[in-house]
Amino acid sequence: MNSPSSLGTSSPGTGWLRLGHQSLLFSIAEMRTVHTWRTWLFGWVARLLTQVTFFALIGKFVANDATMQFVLVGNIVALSCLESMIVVLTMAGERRLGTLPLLAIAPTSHVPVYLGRGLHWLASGIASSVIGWLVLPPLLGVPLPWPEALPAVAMILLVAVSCYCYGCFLAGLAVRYRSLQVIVLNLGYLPIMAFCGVNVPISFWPAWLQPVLHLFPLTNGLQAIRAVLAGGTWSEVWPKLALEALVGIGWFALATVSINRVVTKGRADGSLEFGS
Amino acid sequence: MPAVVEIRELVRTYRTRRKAEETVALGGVTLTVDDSEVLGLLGPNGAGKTTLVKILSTVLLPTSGTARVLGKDLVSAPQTVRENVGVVFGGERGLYPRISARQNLAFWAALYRLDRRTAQNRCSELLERMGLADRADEPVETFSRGMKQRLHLARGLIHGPRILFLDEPTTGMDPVAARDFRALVRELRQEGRTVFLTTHDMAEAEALCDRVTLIDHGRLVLDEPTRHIGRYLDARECVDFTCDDPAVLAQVPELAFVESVEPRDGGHRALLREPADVARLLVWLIERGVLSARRSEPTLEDVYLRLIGTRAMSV
Ligand SMILES: Nc1ncnc2c1ncn2[C@@H]1O[C@H](COP(=O)(O)OP(=O)(O)OP(=O)(O)O)[C@@H](O)[C@H]1O
Ligand SMILES: [Mg+2]
Repeated sequence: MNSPSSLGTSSPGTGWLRLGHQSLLFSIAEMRTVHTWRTWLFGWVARLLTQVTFFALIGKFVANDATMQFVLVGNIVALSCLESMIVVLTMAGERRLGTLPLLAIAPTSHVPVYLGRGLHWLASGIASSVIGWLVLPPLLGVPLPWPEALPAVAMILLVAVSCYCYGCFLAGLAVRYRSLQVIVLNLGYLPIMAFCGVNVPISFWPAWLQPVLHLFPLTNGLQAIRAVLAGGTWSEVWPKLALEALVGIGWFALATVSINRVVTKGRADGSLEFGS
Repeated sequence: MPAVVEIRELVRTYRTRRKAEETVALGGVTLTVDDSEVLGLLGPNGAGKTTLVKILSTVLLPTSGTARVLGKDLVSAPQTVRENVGVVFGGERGLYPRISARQNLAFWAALYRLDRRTAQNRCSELLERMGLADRADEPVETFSRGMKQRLHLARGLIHGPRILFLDEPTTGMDPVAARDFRALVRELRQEGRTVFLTTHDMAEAEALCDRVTLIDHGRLVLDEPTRHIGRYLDARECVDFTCDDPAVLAQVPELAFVESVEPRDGGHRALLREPADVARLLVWLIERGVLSARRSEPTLEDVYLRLIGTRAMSV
């Protein structure tokens, strides 16, 4: 054991890098307790893709091939959203594990730790979406136009990240108001699936609702992806992407505030407990 | 040497669900902890021990009063305090069950800004020291309660804190582990660390602590070096005996030189005022055929029971 004064601390900069690295290792380790790459690919991803196919086929039967492709694209992109929002579960789990107060009193900010707790699901979500993007359209006989479909892959990444930020915000809510937990966990991503242009264009909804839908993640990014596939110009696409990024940043900022608030409030009223 | 922990008139209240009433967990505690000291914090359930540990480790804010750790105020400079204190709360919570013990420690090492090599060495060293080296790479969910508790200790020590707060750290440890724990606390003290230990185990407190502090209903009842603890009893001499004859037993408390008689570990303990009374009682017992009688020392438990005992079950 070293003497009390010989604390081996590094500079703050490398500290954050180390923390990021450690969080990543942590995530991978945790992921590996849930999945091997085989169960991930043939169990998890295959299940998600089947679900996407199911929605796409409904599209085909109730309408036509064009509708099928619309639904297919929407659902493939939504996969990355669905998975990255599992961060709600991993973060809420932190309270159940009783690690919250310990994180709160560590000298490094707990915020990046929290926000990093679901990164493995973000990665998994992006991977599922990209696999779906490459495999499903040709398989279902509605191939995407290439090379237009290539930049869309990068846009899926953006959508996944902004959905993750939104997920972090919801997780912050779930941690803060325990009574809301069940609602947040189950209903958080429902509005996105229902209203944000996955299965029906948002123009289908009442006019007053449409501006609100642009505040949700995925809406703008998905529109950008659809525009690219339709051969839209860059000047048509980039504002949508910028909006998607902005929405993500906004939710992220709210998530940070919300999580900080959990800790400050917890220190004051004793709700920073070791269990729920 | 300045005091390591200085607490002045510390008050903490909790607002209960029904807003009308407030629970007073700490009702004005003043206490000083010196450098390289092992302080035992004792008290019945609900006395406010965990609340005090939470405040000192910056998990909880005090309602009023001040507390300084290494001269830094807990409320205005929590960051400095955090770098210098380690905290271990009792129970199994606070670990990541799915990853290994080593990964758990490595994670906290990063949070405490240890560089990679220091972190690796520190993790191995602590796992070894806690007797967890053989299981270090297995998921924590497969650990027994005592092993988890030992991992908690390792976590609390990861950054080599000057002050360690331990809230019932031996819960769930087997006797060997508890003995090793005592040896560990002594080592930590040798290294110049201050240990603040909450426990319900009187023997443990007596064996480990330089000083014991007893709180009850959020108030300090006693704060005394462990070796002077007997002072708190009027009758400082004891005789332990086992007697099967109810007639004889009934007579003991009636004797003029006997203060009181209490059941103790299958037998009885008589409390006496003067050393000379010990001989008188021993002779008296032997004459009545009670041969299993011997002189003994009042323990911390006697003091505790005397000060708290009458209403221990009425929280
Ligand atoms: N978060 C909280 N909200 C409301 N009341 C609380 C809270 N935490 C503790 N209390 C109350 O404060 C008092 C002191 O509790 P504390 O946990 O400090 O006791 P303790 O001495 O650690 O007891 P034990 O020996 O059982 O661990 C109790 O009356 C308890 O009910
Ligand atoms: Mg307690």
